[in-house]
Amino acid sequence: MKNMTEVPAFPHIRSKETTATMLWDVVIALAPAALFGVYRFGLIALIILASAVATCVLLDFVCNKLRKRSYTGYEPSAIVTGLILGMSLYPEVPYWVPVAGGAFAVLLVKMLFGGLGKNILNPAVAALIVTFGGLRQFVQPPVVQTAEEVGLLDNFLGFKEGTIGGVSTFLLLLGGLYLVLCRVISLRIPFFYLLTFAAFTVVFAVITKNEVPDVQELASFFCRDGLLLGAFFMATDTTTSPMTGKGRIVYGILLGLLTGVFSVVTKGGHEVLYGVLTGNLFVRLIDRLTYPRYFGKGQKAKL
Amino acid sequence: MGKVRFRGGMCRKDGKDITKEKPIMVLRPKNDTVYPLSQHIGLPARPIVEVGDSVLVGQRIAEASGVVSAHILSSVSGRVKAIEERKTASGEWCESIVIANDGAYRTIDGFGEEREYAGFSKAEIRACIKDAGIVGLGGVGFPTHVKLTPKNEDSIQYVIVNGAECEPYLTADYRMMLEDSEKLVGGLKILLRLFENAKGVIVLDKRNKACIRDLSALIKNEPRIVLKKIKGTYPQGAERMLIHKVTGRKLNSSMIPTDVGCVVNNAGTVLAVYKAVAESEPPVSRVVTVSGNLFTRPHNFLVPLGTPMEELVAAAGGLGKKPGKIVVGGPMTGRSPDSLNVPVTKQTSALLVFSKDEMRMTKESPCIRCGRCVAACPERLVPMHLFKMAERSDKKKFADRGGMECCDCGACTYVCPAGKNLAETIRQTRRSILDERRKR
Repeated sequence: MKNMTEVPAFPHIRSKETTATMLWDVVIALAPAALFGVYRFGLIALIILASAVATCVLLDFVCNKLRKRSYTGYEPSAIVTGLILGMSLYPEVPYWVPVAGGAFAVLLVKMLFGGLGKNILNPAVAALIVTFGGLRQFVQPPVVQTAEEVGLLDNFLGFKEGTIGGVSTFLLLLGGLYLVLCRVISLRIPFFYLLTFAAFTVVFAVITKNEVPDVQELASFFCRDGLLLGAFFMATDTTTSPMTGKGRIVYGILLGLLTGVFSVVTKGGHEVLYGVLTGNLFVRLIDRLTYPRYFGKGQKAKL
Repeated sequence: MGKVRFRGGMCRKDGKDITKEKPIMVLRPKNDTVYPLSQHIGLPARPIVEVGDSVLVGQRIAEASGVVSAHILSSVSGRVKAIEERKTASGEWCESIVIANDGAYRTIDGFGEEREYAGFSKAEIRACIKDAGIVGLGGVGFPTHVKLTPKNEDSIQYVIVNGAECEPYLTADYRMMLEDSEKLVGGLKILLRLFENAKGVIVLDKRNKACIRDLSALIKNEPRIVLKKIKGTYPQGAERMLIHKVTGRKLNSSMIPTDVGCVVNNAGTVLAVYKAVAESEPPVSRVVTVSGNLFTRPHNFLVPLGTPMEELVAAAGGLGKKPGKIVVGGPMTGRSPDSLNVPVTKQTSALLVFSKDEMRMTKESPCIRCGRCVAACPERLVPMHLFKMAERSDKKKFADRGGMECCDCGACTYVCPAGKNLAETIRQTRRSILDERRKR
């Protein structure tokens, strides 16, 4: 009965969760909001999403092949990048914009730094900022609606003008909670992010306008285009967020403050993107500052 | 005893249901038994029998060869067949005594006789434990008589009985505690006689309601004994975690439990102490959980030490399919031998056999910094970071970052979605650092 089994390292049982299952869960969580975008904005939204995803997947595949890296097991990573990218674009953008964005995200933000798990910035977020900045004349939001025009319920459900996947606060919230329940992400980052951003906005309103926002205003605040997409899907990207629980709380608060500042400074919107991207730069620092103290450090024999 | 919360650990189905309700069944095999001379930490025992000698159950066949060492007793009656190198569950070859079992199980005189131990002095109790060759039955096998002889016995404030049995699939301790709860309490009372200033604490998984009920009733009139219920998720039964939970005191890797006034013993060990002292019955057999998805009749067996694993497999109904993995001990920290021709030793808490599809054998993928290992580590380390240091063989940084504190629980590897062998790599680096330090 010799050599009847393989003998790899301990422990002898492993959790069923893999990087691929985690990333597929993210795809599942994003799907409802993306599909709603297609329903709301029509075929053009589907084309934008598909071209963004296709570009990312294709380039990711080619790059990994060229680098002679195994590509099995983490295909969904590029799908997630493509989806977040496509969902953050307006349905009116020219067809080549998602392709350019996807190429930028995969080639320059992800692969240049060493591929999956090595990038410092969130590929989708960085690509979106470049797109919205560099290609300004092509990606302007079509119509700017105020919260009063839309109405709170429509605002929450997503029946308004805006980005393909960012409009449906309800479905994004659902997707985010799905990820939390599946333990793919922890609630720490989104919770502290939204809390801090809201608190910043309220305090800012009190200081500058000397008035406290009412409940209606606060509710529509959370329904702003892309906020939940940022809070649940961009800010929680594991590669570009801190690794410890404490670090994640700090990161959430930092993102909230940064987003708050950008919402005041940049008049053109996209404060969530700017906030997350700037926050990305602090991740390694936060990791260092919140490095856990090991159990029993500095303890001496008492007796 | 403040409220202390555990940190780390993992969440999962633990496979204990398979054998939890299976009462302990006595197994008396007729085949040769094998006794490796190194079944404990410390120096291997020295054989005191020769080939051809006839031996009885309970007879000493090898003697402790130093301070930290333990006797080995025969678990069957028969004739010494050979003294030769045999393979053990860890895959290493070890000098072993092989006894041809005559199947009669004739015992030495006085085996299993009740003893009037109430009048025993501390030295006599310790001598009983030493003579019985008792070692820690939980994992590493530290000789119990050495553990029970600390430098300053008055400073011991807690005698902790570890009944948490947090490793998945294992139910041997649970069944023992349930079926022999009076003897468990009796064993603890004997230990408390060695440490007058100590309080006895029995730590149990709070899900084991039946055990808690029985033991609570038994200790009602025992002012020195209390129960402590903990959340039994792995690895909360690890010694340092347990002491923290019971006393609020923290230990690091350079300390031992007596440094904070604690003596920790596994529940099975305490039971063995009772049987050895009160009933003159040294632990020549032990309870082994035989489980996994391949057995038709998984069970908890009481088997003589030295029994080959093949006997256990046969008793559990044989293997339905080709095994994917054999594990001796718990699935997290146990050993995985390449064949079933290895003996049951003092530390064998379980024999688990899984089919191939039960094991997850995914290819390694890049770390995406998900932080699962950080959340799982009971020692509050950053396994992914230590792993990187280990891969670069940056030993200085590895030690600075607390790499030497790792308790080898394997929780980080278990949770890692990238399929990295974090724990194994960290263990190897830690060992090589320890070796270097020893040489200096």
